[in-house]
Amino acid sequence: MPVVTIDSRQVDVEPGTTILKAALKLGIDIPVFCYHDGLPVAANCRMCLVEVKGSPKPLPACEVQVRDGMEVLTRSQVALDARKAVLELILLNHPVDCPICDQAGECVLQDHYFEHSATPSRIQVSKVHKAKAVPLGPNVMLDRERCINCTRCVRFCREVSGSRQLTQVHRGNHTEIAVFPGRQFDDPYSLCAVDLCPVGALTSRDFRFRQRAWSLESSPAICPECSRGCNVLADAANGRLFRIRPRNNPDVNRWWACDHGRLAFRRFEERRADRSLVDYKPQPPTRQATLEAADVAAGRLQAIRSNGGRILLVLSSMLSLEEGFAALRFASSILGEKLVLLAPRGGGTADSLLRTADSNANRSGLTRLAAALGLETADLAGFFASPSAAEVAGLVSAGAEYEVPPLPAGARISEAVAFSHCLDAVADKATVLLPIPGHFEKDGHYANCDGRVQRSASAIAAPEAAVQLHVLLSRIASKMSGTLGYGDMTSVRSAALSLSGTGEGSNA
Amino acid sequence: MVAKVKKVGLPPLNVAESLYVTELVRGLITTNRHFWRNWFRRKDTATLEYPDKRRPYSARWRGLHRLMLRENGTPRCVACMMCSTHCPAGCITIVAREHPDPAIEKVPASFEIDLLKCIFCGFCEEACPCDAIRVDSGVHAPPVYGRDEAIIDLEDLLSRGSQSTAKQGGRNL
Ligand code: SF4
Ligand code: SF4
Ligand code: SF4
Ligand code: SF4
Ligand code: FES
Repeated sequence: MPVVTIDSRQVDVEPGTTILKAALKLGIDIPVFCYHDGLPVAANCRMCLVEVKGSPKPLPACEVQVRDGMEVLTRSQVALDARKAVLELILLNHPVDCPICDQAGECVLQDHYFEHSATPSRIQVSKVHKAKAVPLGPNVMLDRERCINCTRCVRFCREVSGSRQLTQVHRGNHTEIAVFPGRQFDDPYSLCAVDLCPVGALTSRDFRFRQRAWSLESSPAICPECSRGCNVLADAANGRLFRIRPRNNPDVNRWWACDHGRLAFRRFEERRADRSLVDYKPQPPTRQATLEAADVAAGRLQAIRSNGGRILLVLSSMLSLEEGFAALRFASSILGEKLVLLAPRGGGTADSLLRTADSNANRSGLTRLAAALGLETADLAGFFASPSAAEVAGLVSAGAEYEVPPLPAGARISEAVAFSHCLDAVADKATVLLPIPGHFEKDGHYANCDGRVQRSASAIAAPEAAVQLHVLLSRIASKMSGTLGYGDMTSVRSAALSLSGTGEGSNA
Repeated sequence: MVAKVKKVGLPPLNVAESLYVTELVRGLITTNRHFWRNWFRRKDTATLEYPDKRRPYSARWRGLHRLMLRENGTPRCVACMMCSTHCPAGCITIVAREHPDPAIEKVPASFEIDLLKCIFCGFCEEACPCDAIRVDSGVHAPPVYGRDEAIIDLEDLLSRGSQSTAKQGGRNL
């Protein structure tokens, strides 16, 4: 295997390794613009130039592969001068309008300039100006002046998403990113191009101007929009979510996430259940009021039970394993049921890259959990259509966002207690509605389509009235003269994870 | 380090003080002394006949903030939020919006300063890359009846604005 010397340190690497990767192995950082682990090498920005002994010119580290006995200098005068010159060229016509540029604060050009150049411009003549704020597609805005022509976005559309919608036109100073005439950049993964763009040339039209990058705090979450379970970062400020970005997980989503999933988070703000409802009447928006409403629900469920009525659990496939475990345990030990009704969310569309047709975050995990607890499962709609549905006297619905099927013929359901984060069709039918934290407001585990269990951290605080599902269920259980036995999150989590099996290669 | 707290009580009153009338008379003597001295000998009077006469302000007096204007009278502010980021009191709240002219691109939709939080340090002025905000109007913060009224908005800030001679960044620099 070739042995290379980089900055007088030796490293042994596989044949075909680039200088950049070999240096990374030694912990030496070489600045790049156009190189990205997930894209083919283009080597067009020249930011990564390094000095190689015996070579007449500095060489691009991202492209040049190591030879045995190669001697590389990444911090020699030649390399430093090369970087400075490249930055001067890139900044020649760059508008440097950082104050109004959404990328400021997370801009690779800003960072490289401060680290490797930090010298004022020597240009005497007017800069070449280009179009600003050009809407390229429904989700992406282009600033042609800020583009450094790294072609990351072009390569993404060509090699990863396959839409081939972006291209470069014109030459030299006038090179621009463009879509083909009469087309727009409506790639379902177009926001990945925004992430890839090292500068503020491509910006998200949704996030644009809403917050400065430095005021955001990121939490590692899991996208709830389909069963792929893409790893994402949820960026929040002042208790509100502003942006969802993909987080690299080589086994699940790599660096990508679909626009649909990234833009869907606002639905958690719309129609938020921020207080409990008893017989459709809003209660005060406090935790205490929610707990009192839970007591009302407990009393009514107990009344049905003492009359010998049957109460069934309806479980949404969007809940976390922790919530699912608490609900399933409630069904088996308190409601004394062997059957739970699974209520999946509909409306998924698969694509060729990541998105799956199943729009449920945790269907496989909850199904597995129910089986591990020895419970039978039935589909809600299917069960409602069956004759045995007429015997049901009460429903406990955990989670939301599923379609409510028409009630069974001859139904005599007198109570429907719903635990939900939103005021959707399920909540409309509930006689007691108890608010619980929404997806980005809770810490929980989800099993994706491959059975991989992944943790999603909470990014924002839940409204005051929202109480965790296991807390509400244990309270109701104790009022119904039983015990759930799982009153704290630690025990719920460990039980849920050990039952569902964290699965091969899980990042729980 | 925990600061030591020394508790002191009120000094006890002596007999004359506890009689109330003696102290009242002493107070009236002091008041009368000042009154007649000011009446006849106006040299060392501590008070001014405000508002006819005013004290000179310190050259460092800042007063209320204002937002400066472009040549066409529109705000210079581009809602970059440098000022609100830099403000040690965290009293500036800006909401940005798209400007119809892509050469300007970004303007504030709302710009609010909470005067009850502001410490009039002038950091916002120093942070501003556009010479858009200045803390130099010399106008006193007005008295208010409620906390909400102490929040000044974009309109109020612009009403004190004037044109700046500084060149605004962007095109043809
Ligand atoms: S791309 Fe970077 S350097 Fe250019 S204006 Fe935006 S923040 Fe500034
Ligand atoms: S728009 Fe961004 S990603 Fe695309 S070529 Fe320009 S700088 Fe690179
Ligand atoms: S004067 Fe100081 S405290 Fe007041 S708004 Fe400006 S930066 Fe903030
Ligand atoms: S006043 Fe100045 S610093 Fe503050 S947002 Fe406007 S341009 Fe930026
Ligand atoms: S990173 Fe190597 S040439 Fe761009």
